[in-house]
Amino acid sequence: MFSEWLHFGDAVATFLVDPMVWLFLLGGVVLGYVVGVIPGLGPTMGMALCLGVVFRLEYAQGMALLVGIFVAACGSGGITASLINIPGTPAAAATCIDGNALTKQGRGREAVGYSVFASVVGTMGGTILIFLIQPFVTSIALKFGDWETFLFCIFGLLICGSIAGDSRKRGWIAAFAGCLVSMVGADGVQSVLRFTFGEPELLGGFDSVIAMLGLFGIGEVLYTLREKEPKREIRDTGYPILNFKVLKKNILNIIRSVFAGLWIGFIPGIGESAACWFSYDIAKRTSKEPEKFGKGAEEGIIAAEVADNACSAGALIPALALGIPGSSTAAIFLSAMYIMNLRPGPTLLIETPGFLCGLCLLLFVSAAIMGVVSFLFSKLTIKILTIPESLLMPLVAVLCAIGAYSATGTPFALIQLMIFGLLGYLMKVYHYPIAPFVLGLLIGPTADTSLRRALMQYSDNVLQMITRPFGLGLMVVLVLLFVLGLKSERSSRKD
Amino acid sequence: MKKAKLSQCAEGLIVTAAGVLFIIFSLKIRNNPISIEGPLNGIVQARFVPLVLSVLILVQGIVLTVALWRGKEQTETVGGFHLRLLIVVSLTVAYLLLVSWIGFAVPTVVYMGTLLFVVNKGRKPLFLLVLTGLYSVIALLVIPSVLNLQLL
Repeated sequence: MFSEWLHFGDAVATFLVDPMVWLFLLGGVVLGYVVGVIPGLGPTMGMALCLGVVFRLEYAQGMALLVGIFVAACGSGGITASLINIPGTPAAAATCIDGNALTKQGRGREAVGYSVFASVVGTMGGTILIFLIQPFVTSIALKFGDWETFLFCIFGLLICGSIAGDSRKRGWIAAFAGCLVSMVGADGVQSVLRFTFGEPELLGGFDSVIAMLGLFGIGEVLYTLREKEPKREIRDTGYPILNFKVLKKNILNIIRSVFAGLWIGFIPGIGESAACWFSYDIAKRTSKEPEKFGKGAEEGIIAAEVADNACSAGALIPALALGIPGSSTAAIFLSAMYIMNLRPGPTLLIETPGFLCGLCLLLFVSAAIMGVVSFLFSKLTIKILTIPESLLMPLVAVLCAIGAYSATGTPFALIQLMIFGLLGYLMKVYHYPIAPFVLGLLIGPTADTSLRRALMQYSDNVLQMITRPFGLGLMVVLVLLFVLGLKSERSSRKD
Repeated sequence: MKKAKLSQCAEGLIVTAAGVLFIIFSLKIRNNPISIEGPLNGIVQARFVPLVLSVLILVQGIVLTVALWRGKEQTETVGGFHLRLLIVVSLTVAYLLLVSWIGFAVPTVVYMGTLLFVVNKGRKPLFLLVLTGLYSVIALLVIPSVLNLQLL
């Protein structure tokens, strides 16, 4: 069981001695940074691009390229989220809330600094924990069935109230509407068509990446350009900066977020898009200054980004150990492994001893390189993204269109983008928070599929499903959270 | 007085109406092709979760309407409707429709140029023209070639 740890020396020799591996790692990180910063692209796109190249590379070089892209693309999505309120990747959506609020205070460099720092720490922390607990991961992941996944989704819905900001009622409406929109298309259990109205384009449902590009991207473009003179935010340009006092205050927050992100990453199907919200909610609930959240709280940026990156790293492990991709990124990673003659699944560690050690090593080194590359490149990125909005927004709109088109490769992607763009604009105008809508959109299909699958599996004995130990523990936590949420709402009403 | 109250509650009434509409659409979803035995068959139907969500929207709509009626909530909007907004929205909608129809090349150049001129009235035209050219090169040549996208 613990033999994997013994291969650490071999992994170092395989992955870190060859200078070509370092070169591919650097190339991967730079490409990952670019696709992560451009809204709508992201790790899946970056890794898919390299599949043709991986085919011709040696095993260690191919892995280095893929891991470099993966880590940097996941980590740099928060930069765009902070600077122009458009998440570079879906997983960076929670960073928009406080990152952009901080930028609006003229502290864009700090927002980018915290985002980059948290991404590096999240990946490194997650990797160290993965290395330590890797022998037990598969057995823990297998204990999570559909019922437990559904309970996690309910947990996700419960936090909508706290991320809604001032209007909880509108937050709930947005969350339910997001879930409902995610139901469009053929359902995931028996392929029954829902809300398709006979349109073949709607059979696959709405793409979550396009929806986010529309809600955040086109919505932001329309919202910003609606005024005669768009507000000129006082933003500073230069290299990202960090306030070490703030970091010192956030040590506990970072540790908590690494655990939260990693834990969610281990559950197939939930993914980093949800991890950032979970962690953000935990940080807000445990903060001494929860009222600062949504108004530029450094804690919020750090919690979201640490969890997002720890989760990205963590999500790879069950995908490799079980051979079941929990996300599109993991699916690309698994296909690349097949190209490299590796067989992901329970036999991976037997057939390729030392693989997990090597992966952990590459993740760790990639995170360090990403920190340096992001620091150096972010000066230019900040400069580009802080030019006057009236000059920048036309390009942002076109990049959103390109991102949407590249997500599915069909013209219908642009129609979706238009619909979600107008919806995002209206939501901003009428003070409906976009974050709960996005959360609903992301977890809706998983909640629906896992609940129905669980009930079908235990149709003759529901009690057996409810009394599963993991599920029972989750239900207790859910009830506690619900009661705490009600209490805090009452006390905030009294205030 | 009643009219004023009703317009004050318009937002809540719209959400409530949307809830009712979603309930109707949810009820129209077909049954699962394979059913299970027992009382759980109703819950595992494809329409179950959408129906629950629609009911929740309806309930929230009613709660919002009551809150608006009592003055505990207010419908707040940012900015009003004006010509500039109409032009920006129309241009963006037209651009996305045109791209889905005839491709990226011409609509992208025209959209960026027009939008830059519309929202930057005080700036030098030559600067805006150069910027349009630069943005077009970035969007149509640089990014697609780096990412191996076929836009043209």
